[in-house]
Formats: sequence, structure tokens, C-alpha cells
Amino acid sequence: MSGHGGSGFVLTPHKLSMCLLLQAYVLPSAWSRPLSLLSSPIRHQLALFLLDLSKAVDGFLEPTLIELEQLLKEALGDVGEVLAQQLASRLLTFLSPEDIFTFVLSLRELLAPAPFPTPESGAGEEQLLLEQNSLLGQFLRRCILAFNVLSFEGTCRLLTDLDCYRRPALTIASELSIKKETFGTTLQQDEEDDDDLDVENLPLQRQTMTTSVGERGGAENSSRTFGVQIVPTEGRQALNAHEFVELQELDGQVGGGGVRDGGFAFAFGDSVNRSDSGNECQFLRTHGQVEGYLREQAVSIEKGLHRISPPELNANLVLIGKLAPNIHRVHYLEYLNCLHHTDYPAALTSLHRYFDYSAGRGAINCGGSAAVDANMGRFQAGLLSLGSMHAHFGHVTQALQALNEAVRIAQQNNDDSCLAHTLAALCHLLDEVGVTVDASAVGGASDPVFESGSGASLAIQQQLLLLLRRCLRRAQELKLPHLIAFSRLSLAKFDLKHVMRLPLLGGLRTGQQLAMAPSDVCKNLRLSPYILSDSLTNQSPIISNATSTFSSAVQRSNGSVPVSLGGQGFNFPGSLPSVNGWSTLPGRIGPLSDSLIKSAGTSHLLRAASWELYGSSPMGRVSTLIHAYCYHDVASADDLSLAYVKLVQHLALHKGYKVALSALDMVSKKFPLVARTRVQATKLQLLLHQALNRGEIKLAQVACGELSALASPTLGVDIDLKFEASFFYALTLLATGDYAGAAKAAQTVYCLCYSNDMQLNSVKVLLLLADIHRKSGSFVTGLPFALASLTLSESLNLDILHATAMVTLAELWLGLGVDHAQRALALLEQCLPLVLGHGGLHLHARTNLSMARCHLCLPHYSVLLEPETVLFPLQEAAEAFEILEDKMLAAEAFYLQAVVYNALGRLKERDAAATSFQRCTLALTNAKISKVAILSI
Amino acid sequence: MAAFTSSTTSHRTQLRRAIRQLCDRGLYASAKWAAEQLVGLPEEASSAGPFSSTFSHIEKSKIGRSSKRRENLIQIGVTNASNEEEEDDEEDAFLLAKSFFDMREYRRAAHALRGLLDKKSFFLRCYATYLAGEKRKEEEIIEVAGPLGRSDVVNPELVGLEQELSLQFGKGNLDAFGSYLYGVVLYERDCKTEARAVLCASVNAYPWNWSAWLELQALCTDPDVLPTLNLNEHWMRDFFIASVYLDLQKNSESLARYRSIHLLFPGSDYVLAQTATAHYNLREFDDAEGLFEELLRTDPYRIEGMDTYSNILYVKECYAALSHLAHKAVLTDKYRPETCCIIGNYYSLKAQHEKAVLYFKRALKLNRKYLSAWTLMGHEYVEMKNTPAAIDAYRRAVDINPRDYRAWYGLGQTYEILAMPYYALYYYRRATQLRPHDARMWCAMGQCYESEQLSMHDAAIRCYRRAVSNNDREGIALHKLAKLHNQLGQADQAAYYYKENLERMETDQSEGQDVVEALQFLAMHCKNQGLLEECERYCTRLMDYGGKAKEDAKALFREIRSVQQHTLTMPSMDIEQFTP
Repeated sequence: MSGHGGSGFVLTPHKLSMCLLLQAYVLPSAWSRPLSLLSSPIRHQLALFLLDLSKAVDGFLEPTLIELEQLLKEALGDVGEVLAQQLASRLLTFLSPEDIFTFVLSLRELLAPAPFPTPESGAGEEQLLLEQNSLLGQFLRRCILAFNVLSFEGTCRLLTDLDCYRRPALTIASELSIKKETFGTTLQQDEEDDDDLDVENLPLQRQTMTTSVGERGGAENSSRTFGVQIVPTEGRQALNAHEFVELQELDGQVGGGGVRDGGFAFAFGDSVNRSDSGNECQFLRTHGQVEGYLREQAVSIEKGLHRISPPELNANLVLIGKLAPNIHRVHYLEYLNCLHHTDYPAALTSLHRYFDYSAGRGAINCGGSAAVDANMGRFQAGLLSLGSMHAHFGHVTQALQALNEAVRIAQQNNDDSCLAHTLAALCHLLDEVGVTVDASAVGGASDPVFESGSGASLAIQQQLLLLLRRCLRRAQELKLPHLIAFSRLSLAKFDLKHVMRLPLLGGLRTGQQLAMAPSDVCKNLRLSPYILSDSLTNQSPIISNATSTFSSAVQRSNGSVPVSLGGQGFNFPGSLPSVNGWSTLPGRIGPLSDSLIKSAGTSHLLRAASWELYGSSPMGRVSTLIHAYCYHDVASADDLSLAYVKLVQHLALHKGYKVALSALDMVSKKFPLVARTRVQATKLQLLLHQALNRGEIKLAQVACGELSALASPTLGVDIDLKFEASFFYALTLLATGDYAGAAKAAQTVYCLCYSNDMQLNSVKVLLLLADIHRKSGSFVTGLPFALASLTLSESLNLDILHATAMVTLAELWLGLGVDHAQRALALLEQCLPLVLGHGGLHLHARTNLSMARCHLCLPHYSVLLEPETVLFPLQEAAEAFEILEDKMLAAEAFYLQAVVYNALGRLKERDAAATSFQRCTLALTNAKISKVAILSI
Repeated sequence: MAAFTSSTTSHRTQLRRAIRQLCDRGLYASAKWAAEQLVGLPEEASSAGPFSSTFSHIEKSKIGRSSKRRENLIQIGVTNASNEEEEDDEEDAFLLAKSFFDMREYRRAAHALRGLLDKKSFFLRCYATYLAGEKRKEEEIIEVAGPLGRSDVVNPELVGLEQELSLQFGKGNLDAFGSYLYGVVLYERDCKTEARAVLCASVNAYPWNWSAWLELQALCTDPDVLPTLNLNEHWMRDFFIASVYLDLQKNSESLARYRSIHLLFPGSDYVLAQTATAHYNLREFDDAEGLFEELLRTDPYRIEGMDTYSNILYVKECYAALSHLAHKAVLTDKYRPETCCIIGNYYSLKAQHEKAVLYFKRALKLNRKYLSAWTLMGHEYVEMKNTPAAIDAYRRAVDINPRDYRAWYGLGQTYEILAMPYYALYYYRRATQLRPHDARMWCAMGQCYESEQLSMHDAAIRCYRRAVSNNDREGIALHKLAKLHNQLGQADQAAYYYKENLERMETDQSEGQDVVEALQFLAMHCKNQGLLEECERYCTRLMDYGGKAKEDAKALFREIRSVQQHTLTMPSMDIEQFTP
């Protein structure tokens, strides 16, 4: 193991350069003239530069000499340039192992004596010794150590590598003489014996320059000046080779067959071509840096920000794997890469390879769907990852099996943290992906998780709830903040989505007793960030600071209504840059806080969802916006796409479908891979709405079919999507006028909702049923449905749905006859504040239209006396329906408008309204016969 | 018969010339192989042969007249020979270089040959350069990563060689040997398709270079590739095809081919060893053992292939024979990976696993790509309960050759030991993909499915059925199938499989708990079905066994008797009552 000085720290030419630069920083006097007079600010800059270089994780290969030159120039300007040239010439002076040996010996002088630097060493400018334990000091010591353990072969190898590395040095150093003068003048120090010193220092390099530029026959000469006699065979060839290249270039006949053909080609051929193959000059950075790079890449893959293309990344990984076969994480990254490009077999292979080699001991802190923490157990980690991979690909049964096994093994090995993570993954699986009833029965039969619950016959939701609670408890016991946050969020989400069926619930009472109560959900939501800050107090100050500020910010944003971004809602200066700052300091805050911030972001999304449900779309929008703006760099692509989709939906509600669709196009461009189905589903929904409004039945039917095709065919999976599809199916039937069919379809949807415990959606279905009955003209039969949805939505605190139900009820009453107009109007007025404040455009317009109709029906109302009470809402409704492209209702509004204007005798306006009416009806009939059914999806 | 002998003589002349040419170029492995085949040719025709070169010359001219095409082929090889005599100066330099080469001073040899333009010198120079690079590579691996470490070191000469050779290849200046080397270089540079094409050209031009065929075989790991190769008809091709089949685990096909080759080369040790390996792969250990013994009789100092022999001895638990083999191998050549492997097997058999690991490690130090040593070391680690090390070892084997089903199987087993049947399934699946006709793989998979953690009985039954249809010799599958069906309450199927298993055990004459279990079930089943006579038969057999089974059988007997008496006393009533 000659090449190793400790944990994978290998002395490479680049590190020699670093040591040289360190020498320039600490002991400039050892260097030639202009540099020996470096002012201390510049020296400090240099130190910072070196520090940065030794920590950088933005790549895995050490920079070549040319790159280093570039970096120096960027960091230090002119000084950097001269420094680079000096460096190049210094590198050229290493001709034999002895040179390197003496150099490394001299490096020891740079280190301060062991205890602490004595105060009198504060001679300032000249004597800036490196402290032993400073980062740079450690670096230097590691270099010295690595050299000391190097065998002679190792040293030879270093020299060979150095030859390859410093090939460009000649050209860099040649610029030295030109640049030096300008630099000397800028420094304005004494410049008398400038040149003498230089010549003294660089005799060899000067000579070689002359020989190689001078006459080409002098190849042997120049090689002698390089002291080849001392250099071992390989070094000799490399050196010869580079001159050979130079010569050929000078002759202007690169690759000329004549020279290469004969025996000459043999002597050089191989090593000449080393530069062609390129990988001879590549050296990996230190182990830690490569790991850091890999971690960065993993994070970027997980977030779906494809900074580099997958094939490119793969090539990089293969290269790392070749250069350092002992870094197993490469396989893990391969796995991630495949996973995110849905290459199932390759992902499976890489996953198994990774865990076979690492035995799960490597920290996977950039884990699968459930954020995985460091220091995981062993093979259970592999199972966990396997499970989440299957979940990702939608292989529910396999995922369940893998996760169950993971639970068992984790229990066996007392690996609590893995167990908790596995539980979380199970929750995620049950929650997000959905499990078929059969599959859960299979899993349940042999599953310790479910058995410890109350029997395998529990419904999936109940299993999920039990699991979530168990997960939360475990996470609390183990003090795993991100898991606590995760389980709290999931619980909140669960509560949002499901109404608990309390066994002894005799009919629905007030909403307060159900977990659906908004206050409960909010409490959960608020608790999650609190927990974050609580459990982090013993972590590093940065994190706890960040999160506590964060949680207080969350608190405020939750309590106060006007949350403006970057305003006082967040008290860190400019929320964007600071959040940015967190995630761009990799390795210093660690993945832990990343996942925390992520879940904090998710809490905003959930809050948005809760606002949506409870009936405040502006508040929902604000929460979504907060997520989209502040967490875009930490959030997973899943969350982010959800946020965007929510914003688009909001847009559709308030600005019409055209705008929303164009916005959605942008979203789908942003998330090309990860969130394909979700974006697609939203697009189809919007298209459906639009088509139904326009009356394009054919299009609606096709879109409806596509939507249902998006859902997985497996029973019990993708329930939400299936619900949407069948709901739209009923709507489409309604639009075609097939009332019986629509009612039947709606009833099937209701059954679906009931069997899957989707109370919230069932309210929607009830409303739809009421609507169907209303449209079919049997208002009386519609009434019970409307009333049922009214009660349900009230007890479940679904304010917007409540308002919609009220409007529907009012419409039904109105349909029953003129006598009920008063009652209908009262209902409408009752829900008006909510509708105006939070309702969408469509509800808005519907309410307006109904109100106008009510007024017109009222016996004591006279158009002539108060025309505005009718005209204003009609105008509003007509405009809104125009935006939404709802031709049918727009036509109705225009018709009423025309009638009213006619009564008022305002002929011109009447004609305008009538023309609009005509336009709408014509468009509607056209749309009905048009066969536009080609979707541009 | 005449045709037979003439082909034999032509083979003989071809091989003789080839050996000389191969030796000239330092291709000793091929020369050795060719010599082995030469000696393997039948005796009677060779009575005049081996010592009279004049005779062979005459033969050559005869053949030349008879088949023009073959003559052309040979001509390519011969042109160099004619050059040799003409250019004396160059010949001197070549002789010097060759002696350097033989002393393993490759760089010196290459240097001595610089400037020589004839094809033979060119080849030797390139080959020496290549070998120098290989030598350096090996040294560097040890320097950088230690003997068992993984490292990225590549032969530093490859790039240069590739350029030079491709240039010559493009000009059409490359002879068969040159293109062989070019193929090797391309292969190592990971240009597999090109390498395949070049190697095909090489073996078509000069078929007697066995090393070229071997390289080509290494490039035919995918069974679909073989038919796409453009190969001329030649008897060397038969050797190649047989060897490829063996490598692809198409053992029966391979065996058939070797049998036909054996007719032509009855005395070839190589053919014998390959046949033995095929038998071993088919798990026909007795045949394989016999062949290996014969091999050792004719060639007592042989070490190649003896690791396989030791595997057989290990399986058959022949302590003495294995120790004898190990002893002989050590005396012959201690530092051969095969030797170390044999010793490792011996210690493994003696249950001294630490020592076994030591020797397997030594084998791997001698040859890092020695597959079976990695796998066997994995087995040892499993025995030592060091699962991570075992997994690592197996994994290394799999990464060296992804078609090594033993390592996949081992990985599966290790995970099964860790009580992770679901995780293990992946590996078993890989193993079954490689050996779809191996009952053991299917049994292993079935066991995983059957395990109480997964308890997917249907899948398990399907696996066991596959095992049964693939001739499961250990009879695990039948018994398991019967038990599974019994568990699932499918008594008829269970009875069927119990019967089958019983028959199998009868033919094997094996006794054991399985027999008792089968008999017990069958007795009960027949009683329930009303097949009293059959039931009686099973009970009688059960009486041979002691313990609880005997008591149960007695009780059953009594029951049968009472039922029989009952039916005997009123047979008519029964019928009248139940059949209207």
C-alpha cells in the first residue's frame, strides 16, 4: 500500500503544486523576486484561495496545471498569473526523486512548532507559520506524511505523473519573462537585481527553452539538461515524449507518419499517445472531496435539477469507479441516476451491487423517497432502498415485501433508526402510491407491522394511521427530527384527507369532534416545525438558529394574514438568498438540515391544501407561493411540481383555462421527467373543463378516456386519479344530455368514494348528483342530494363546498317555481360573502346569475325601478363566463341581459347583448358538431 | 479410412509447422496447445511421421495440389519462413531479440527489434512491448492497491500499440499474428465489436493459433454472438465451437462435439480434460472423475484443470484422494493458482476454514481474476459466519464474470442465511437465468418463496415444479411439493407427489424420514379415499420403521380391519342404501 498515506490520501502532482503555493504563502522569501515581496493582503487572499481549493467539492478530478493557472488568475488577478508562471517553472525543476525529497523536507519549515506559535513569531509579514491543526496545516502534514510512507516505486510514479502534469508548464513559464516586468512595476518595489535572481532561479528552464525552440536536432541535448540520467525509465520516456511532441509541433507536421513509422515510433509512440488518451493525467481529489461531490450529485438528482445530463453523469461515475474502485457510493449514484430515468433493470443491478459491496455500512444520507439518515444499519438498509425503489416504480407488492422484510431485519438487529425509516417508507407507500386490498392482505398476513396492530382485517387507512402513529412515536424516542417532521406532516395530511370513522358515531355531529377539524390539522402543521427546532437545540448553532428563525417565521406567516414575500413575514434578510445560502453550503450544514427544511417546505404545501379545502383560495395561493419561492432549491421535485400545479389550478379558477394551460406548458417543461403523470393529469383536467364549457363533447370524451388511462390498472392504486376520471366521465355524460347515464355514473363514483373512505370527494359527488337532477328538470329529487352535501360539508368544515351547495340549493329552489324565489335569494345572500371573498370565478358567476334570476322572479321587483340590481350581476356573470369560455351559461346571461335592456328600452345595449347571445349559441352548436378530438398531449 | 488417415496426416503436418511458427513468435501457450493436439493424433499413421521431416514435406506438396484454397491459407504462414533465409542481417537481430524475449527481457527485445520491418519482427516487437506493459501493469497494481485490491491500472502501452497496429491494419500490412495482437489490444481497450472482427480475420487467416481462438471465446459471452461470427470452415473451428459451448454452459452440446473431436485426436489430453469438465458441469461426477484419473495417469505432472478434479473429490468427500492430489500438486508447482485452490479445497473439506481462506487468497494473489477461487472463498467465509466478507468475495466473482452462476447462487444463499429471503430472490433469479435447467437453482428459489417470511406458496409450487421437470436429483422438490400441497389442503396433488417421491426413493434405495412421512400421508390419504387395500400396503411398509410411525400404522391397521369387517358383514345393505 505504498501509495496511500492514510485514508485514501495520495500524493499527486496537484498536491505538490498546492504545497508550492503554500510555500509561497508562508515563506515567500523562498521564491524568486516579485513574489518574495507579496503584501500580506495578497498573501491572505492566496491562503483563502488554497483553503477553498482544498475543500472544493464541485468536481472530482484535480485541476490540471492549466486549470490551476486559470483559477489563480481569476482569484488573484495579475499576481495569480505571475504565481502560476513561477509555479510552472518551479515544477520543472523537479527532475529526480531527490528533488522531491528535499522539497518535502523543506516543507516542514512551514509548520509552526508543535504547541502554539510563540507570540514573538508575530513578525507579521515575513513569518506566517502554519499552525499544525489549522486546515492548511493539516493538509500540509498529510502531504508530508503521504510522502514519508511512499516507497521508492511510489516516488517514481509520482515523478512520472508529474511529467504528465507539467507538460503545459513550459508554455506557461515561457510567458514569465514578458509578464514579470509589468508585474514588477505594479508592485513598485525595488527592482534592481530582478533579472539576476530570476536567471539564477530558472537556469534549467531557460536552457530548455532555447534548445527546444532553437534547433530541432538538439533533442538529445535538451533531454540531458532535464537530467534524465537520474530519472527512471518511465520518466525518461515521458520527458522525451513531450519534447518529441514539441518538436513535431515546431515542424508543423503533427502525426507525420514518417517519423513514427520506424523504430523511433516505438520508443516514443506509447507515451506520446498518453496525452491523447487523456486519462493518464487524471487524478482524483481526496476521498472526502469525492464523497462530497457524489453527495452533491445525489442531491441534485433527487431534486430533479438535471445540472448535468444523465449520460454525462454516468460517464463521470464510470471514471470515478475506474480511478477509485473503493468508493462504493458510485454504485449508489448509478442507482439513483437509473432510478430517476426509470431504467428499472439497471437500477436494480446497481442497487444490489452497492449494498453487496458496502454491506449497508456506508452512510446513505441522501436516501430514497423517505429521507434516510447517516449511520444506518446494514442489510436492512439495502432492503429499505429496494423497497422504496419498487415503490417508486409502482411495484406495490414487491415494495411491501421488501419493506416488511426490512422491518423484520431491522427489528432483529435492533436498528431502530432504520426501523423508523422503514416505517416512514411504508407510510409513504400506503399513502402516496396506494395499495391494493389484496396486496395488503398478503402483506398483512405475514407482517409483523400489521399484526402488532389490531388484526389484518383493518382497512388500509386505519393501518396507515396506526403506522404513522407508531412511526411518530419511534421517531420521538429516537430523536430523529426529520422523521418526526415527516410523520407529523403525514398525520396532518391523513387528517386532511380522511374523516375518521369513529365506531360509536351516531350520525354526524359537529365538526369539532372529528379529526377533520381545521384546528387540529393546523395544530399538527404548526407542531412540525416546532419539533424541528426543539430537537435541534443540541445540534450545531447554525442549524438551530436557522430553524428557530424559520419556525418563528412559519408561526407568523400562519397567524397573520398579509404575508408578503421578503417582507416582515420572514425575518431573515431576504428570504430567498438565505435559503439559498443554506443549501449551497454543502457539507457544512449537512443533509439533516436539508431534509428538515424540505419538510418545513412541505408543511407550507399542506397548509395550502388545507386552505383550499376550508375555502380560502387566496390563502392557499399564498402558502403555495411561499413554498415555490422559498423552498425551490431544497424541495423535492415532487413537492415543487405539486406547488406549481396548485398555482396553475388557482390560475384556472380565477383567470380562466387558457391562461392556466399556457402556464402548465411551462411547468411541464420544467419537470420533464419526474412529475409527468401529475402534470399530465392536471393538463387533462383543465382541458376537460375547457372542452365541457365550450361544449366540445368529442374532445371531452377523448380527454376523459386519456385521464382514466393514466391511472394504474391495478385495483386500489391511484384512487385519486381514478376518482377524477370517473367524475369527469359523469360530467361528460351530463354535458351530452344523457341524464340517466350521468346519474348512474355519479352513483358509481359515490360508491367508489364510500368504499375508499373519501368523504371529501363524496360531498363533491353529491353536489354533482344534485346538479344532474337539476339539469334534468326534476328539482324535487335533486333537493335531498343538495341538502345532504350541505350538511356534510358543514360538518366537515368545507366552506367552499358549503357555499357551492348553497348556490346549488338556491338554483333548485328557483327551479321549483317563482314562489320559492325569495327563499333562494336569501340563501344566495347568505353565502355571498364567502363566494366573493374566496370563491372561484365560476362560482362567482353562477351566484351572480342566480341572483339576477331570483330578482327577476320576485313579484315585488320591478326592472324599471332598480335596473342595476339585475344588470350589474348579469354583467359580471357574463364577463366571467366569457373568460371561462362557458358558452351555455354565458348565453343565458346575455339573454337575460337582452331581455332586461329590452324592457328598459335601451335598444343599443339590447342589440349588443343579443349579438353576444347569438355568438355564444352559435359557438356552442358549432362545438357540438365539431369533431375536434385530437389532443396535443 | 483412407480419407481419415489423410486428414490425420494433414493435421499432423499443419500442427508441426504451426508449432514452429508459434514458437518463433513467442506464442508459447498456443504452441503448447498445438503440441498437445499433435501428440494426440492417432498412433498408427504416425509410425513414419514424427522423425522424418522429408516425408512431411512430400505430404505437404501433395495436399497443396489437392486443395488450392488451403494452400493459400498456409502460404500466408509460410511467406515469413521464406523470408527468414534471405535476410541474414535482420535474422541476427531477430535472434538476439528472441533470446531477450525468452529471457523475459521484453523491453530489451523490443528495443533490439526496432527498425526491422518484416512482419515477424514487427509482431515480436509489438508483442514484447505489450508484454512489457503487462508486466509493468501487474507490478503497478501491487504497488498501488495491494495484491487483492481493485485498481484502475491499465497496460500503459495499449494506446501506442493500438495506434501503430491500426495504422498497419488499415494499410493491410498486418498478418494473422499481427491482427491477433491487434484484437487483444482492442479487447483491452474495450472495443469489443472491432476486436471480434479482427480476431475473426486472424483465425481465418491462420487457424492454428489457439490463443486467438481463446480471445475470441472470451468475446463470445453472449450466446447470440456466436452465429454472427464470420468463420471459415476448419477443424480448429470445431475445437473452438466445443470450447465456447462449454463456456456457455451448453454442456451436452459441447460434450457431443468433443466426442467427435476425440475420434480425430484420440490421445489428446486437452480433449480429455474438456470432456471431463463438461461431465463435471453436468454433475456427472463419476464420469468426470474417471476421466481425470485417466488424465493423471498419462500426464502425472499436469496441473491445468486439476482444480476441477479437486472440486469433484471435494463433493464426493474423498479425503485421501484429495490430499494425495494436493500433495502431488505442491510437489509439481507450489505457486500455481490451481495448486492453491486444491489445497484450499482440502482444508475446506477438513473444515479448517481459516486455512482454506488463506490458500484461496494465495491463489487470488497469483491470479486476481481466478473466478472459482473467489467463489470458493465466499463459501468459506459463509462457513466462518463472516457474511460481509462472503458477500464481498462473491460479488467480486460476479463482477469479474457476470455469468458465474455459482457466485450468484452463493450470494443468494448468504442473504437467505441472513433471513432475507426477498432480497435473496434477486440473486437466485440471476442464477436461474444462467442455468435455467438446473434444478438446484429452482429449489433454492422455491425455498425462498416458501419461507415463512414470504410464504408465497403458489410461487414456491411453480418453482418446485420447474425443479422437478428439470430432473431434480436430490428429490427435494418432490417432497416439498407434496408438503406444500398438503398444507394447502390439496390432498390429491399431495398424494401424487408423495407417490412420485416414494418411487424415486425406492429406485435410489434411500431411507429416511421422508419415506416415513410419505408413507404416513399416503396411508391416511388412501384410507380417506376408501382405498383400503392400498392403505394396508402402505401400513405394512410403515411397520418396518420404529417409533411413533409404527404405532400409528398399527392403529391404522386396526381401523382398516374394523372397516373391512363392517363392510364384509353387510355389503349388500350399503349398496342398497346409497345407490338408488
